Amino acid sequence: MFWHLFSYRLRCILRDKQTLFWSAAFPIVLAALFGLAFSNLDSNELFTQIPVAVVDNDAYRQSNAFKSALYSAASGKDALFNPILCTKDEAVALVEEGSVAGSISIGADGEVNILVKETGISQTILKAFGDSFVQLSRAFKTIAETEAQAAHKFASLLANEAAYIKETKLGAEYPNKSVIYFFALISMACLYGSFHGVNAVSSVQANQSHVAARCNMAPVHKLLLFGAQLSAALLVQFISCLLLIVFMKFVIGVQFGPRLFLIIFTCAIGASMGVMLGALVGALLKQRLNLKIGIIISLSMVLTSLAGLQYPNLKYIIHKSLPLLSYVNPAALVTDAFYALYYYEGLERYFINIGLLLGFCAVFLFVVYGVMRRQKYASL
Amino acid sequence: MQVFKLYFRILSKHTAVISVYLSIFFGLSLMFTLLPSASSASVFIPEKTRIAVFNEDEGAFAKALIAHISERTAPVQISDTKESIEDALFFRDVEYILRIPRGFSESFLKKDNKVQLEKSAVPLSASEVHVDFLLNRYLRFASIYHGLLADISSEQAAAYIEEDFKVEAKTTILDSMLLVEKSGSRSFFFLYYSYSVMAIILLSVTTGMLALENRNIKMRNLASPLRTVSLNLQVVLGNLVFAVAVWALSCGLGLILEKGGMNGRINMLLMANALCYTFVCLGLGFFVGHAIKSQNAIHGAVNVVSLGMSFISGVFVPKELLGETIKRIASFTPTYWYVEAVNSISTLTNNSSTLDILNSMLIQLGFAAAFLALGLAVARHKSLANEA
Repeated sequence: MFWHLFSYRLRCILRDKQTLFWSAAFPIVLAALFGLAFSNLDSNELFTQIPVAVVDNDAYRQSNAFKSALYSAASGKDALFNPILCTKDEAVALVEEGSVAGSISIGADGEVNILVKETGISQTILKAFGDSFVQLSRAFKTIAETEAQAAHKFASLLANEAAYIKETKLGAEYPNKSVIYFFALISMACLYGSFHGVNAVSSVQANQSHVAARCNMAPVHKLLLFGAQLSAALLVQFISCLLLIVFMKFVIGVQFGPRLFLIIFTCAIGASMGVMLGALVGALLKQRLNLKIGIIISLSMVLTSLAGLQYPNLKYIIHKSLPLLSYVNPAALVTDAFYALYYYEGLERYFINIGLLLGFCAVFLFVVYGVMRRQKYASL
Repeated sequence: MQVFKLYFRILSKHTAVISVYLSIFFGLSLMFTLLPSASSASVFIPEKTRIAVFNEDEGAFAKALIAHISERTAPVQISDTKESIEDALFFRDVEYILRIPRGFSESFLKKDNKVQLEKSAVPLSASEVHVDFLLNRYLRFASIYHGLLADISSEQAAAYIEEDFKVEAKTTILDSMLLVEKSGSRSFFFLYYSYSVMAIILLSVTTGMLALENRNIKMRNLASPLRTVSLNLQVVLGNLVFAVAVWALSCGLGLILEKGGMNGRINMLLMANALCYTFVCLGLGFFVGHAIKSQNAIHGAVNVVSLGMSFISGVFVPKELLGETIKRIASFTPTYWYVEAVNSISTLTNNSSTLDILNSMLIQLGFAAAFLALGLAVARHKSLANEA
C-alpha cells in the first residue's frame, strides 16, 4: 500500500510544474546567473605586477642607487613592478589613459615624484616604494653623520635580504568569499522544499482539497498515508538539491572541498529540513494554501538573506555579534555546514551545524505529528 | 474612467506582493547607503589594509614595530582563536594576520633570525604584498641601524626610523580626473532601482493586463457601450500613473537618503535616466503581459527576467568584474544601457560632455518602443486568432 501511495504522490509532484519550477529550476537559473556575474569577483584582489612609467631623465641615468632599487623591485618571482622607460610627456599620457598605475621620476636633488590618476592598492604600493627610496637616502645621511666609518657597510646591509616573515596557512582551501553566494543559494533551494512539505500536508487535510477529503475516507492508516506523501516530497527535494549541487560543481565550477560523501549527506539533511519546515507551516496554519505559500516565501527570503545570499558578510557579522541568531536560522546552518566542509580542516563546526539541523527536523516532525493526529473532520 | 479605477482595484489586491519588493529595495538601499563608501579626493590617501596583530613578545622592538605598522594599516580587533581568525580572513574582515612570537625582539636584535614573524593572508593578494612590503621595509631599516651603529638602544633606533619615515615621495593626482562630487551611495541606489522597478512594474502591469485579458471579461467589455479606444487608453493611463508614482516615490527616497548632497545637474540626469528605464519596464510589461498565459507563470517570468538582466548588466556586481563575453551579451538588454548611464553620470565632471549619457537614454527609449511594438504585434496576432 505504501508504494502505491508513494508512487502516485510522486506523479502528482512531478506534474505540478509550478512547484517544481520554484524548488528545482529557479535555483539552477539563479546559480547560472551567479556564475556569470561572480566569475571574476575574487580576481580584483589578486596581485598582478604593477605597470609603472619611469621617467628616463638625466637624474635617472645618473642615479645608480635609484636604478638598482628599481631593478630589484622589478625582477625575480616576487617582482612588484613592470617598469616602462619613457619621457616625461609620455609618462603623463600613459597615466592619463590609465595603462599604467602611475609614473615615478627622480629629480636632480634625489627627490622622488609620483604621478597617479586615482588612489588604490597599486598606487599605495608604488608610493611606499618611492617613500622607501627617499627614506633610505635619509637614513644613509644620518649614519654617515654619526659614524662615518660605518657608512661603507651600508650597501652590503641593504643587499642582505634575510627572511623575517614566514607564512602559516589558514583554512583547508583558498578563502574564496564568493562561494558563500552559492552555499546560501543551496540553503534557499532547501527552504523552497517547503512548497513540497506544505503540499504533502494539505493533500491529507480533508478541508484543503477534494482529493484530500477523498483520501481521508479511504480505509488506510493516516500515518501511512502521510508517510508516503512526505517520503515522496523528500525524495524529489533531495534530488533537486543534488542536481543543483551537480550543476554548480560541474557547470559553474564552484569548489566544495574534497569530502564528497558529507556534501551529499548535508544536501539530504538540508532538503529534509526544508520539507519538514513546509509541513510545519502547513500543519500549524489553518488558512488557505496561497497564504501558506506566501508565508514560506517571505520566511525563506528573510532567512536566506541573513545567511548571506545577497551580502555574504552579513552571515559573518551575525555569526560574530549575534551567534544565537545564526544557530536558530536553518538557512544559516545549511550555508555554514557547506562553508565548514569547504574551509575548515576539522569537522567539529560541521557536526554542530548538522546536529542542530537534525534537531530542527525532529522538532518540526514531532509538532507536525502532534497536530495532525488530532485532526478530525466531523463535517466539511 | 471605470477601467482606470478597476485597474487600481486589481492592483490593490496585490499590495502584499508589491510591498515585499518595495521594502526589499528600500531596505537594501538603506543598508548600502549607510555602509561607508569609497570617495575620491584631491590628496593622495594611501589604501589601508585591514590587519590583525597578535603580540606574544614583550620586547620594546616589537612594540615599536606594531606602532609603525598600525599607523599604515587599519588594525582590527578579533579574538585569538583559530576559528575566529579563519572566519575573519574568509570574509575579509582582516586581510592579513601578523603574529609576533615570544622572543622575536631578542632574536632580531641578536641577528640570529631564529624567531620569525608569522603571517597569514589572502594568498597572492595585493594587500599581502603591501603589508609584506611595509614590514620588510621597517625591519630592513632597523637592521641597518642596529647593524651599523654600535650600542644603539631599541628606542633610539625607533626614533631614528620614525624621523626617516617623515620624508616621503611627492605624490600628485592628475587634476583633470578630480571628481566633482562623491556619489558612491547614490549610484548604488539608482543601480538597484533598475531591479526593483522592473520587478514591481512587470508584476503589476502583467497582473492588471491578465485580469482584463480573461476571455469572459474581455467579451463582456467588448459588448459594453465603452469604446475600445477609450478602454485601451484607460489601461495605458493606469499603467502610466502607477509607473510614474513608483518612479517619483523612489527618487524622493533617493533624495532623502542623500540629504541633498549632490549637485542639481547630476540629480536631474539620474532621475531622467530612471524615468527612461521606467518606460522600458512599462514596454516590457506590456509585451510579457500579452505573451504570458497564466497568473501562475507571472512570478517565475518576472523573477527570471528582472534578476537575469540585473545580474549580467552589472547591477549587483560592479561592471568591471564581469567577463567580456557577458558584457557583450548584456549590451543587447536595456538594463546594460541604464547601468552604463548611471556609471557615467556618477563619474561626471564639471566639464565633461553629457552626450554619451543622452545616447544611453535614447537607446533605452528605443528598447521601450521596440517592446511596445512587439507587444502590439502579439496582441494583434492573438486577436486575429480569436476571430478566426
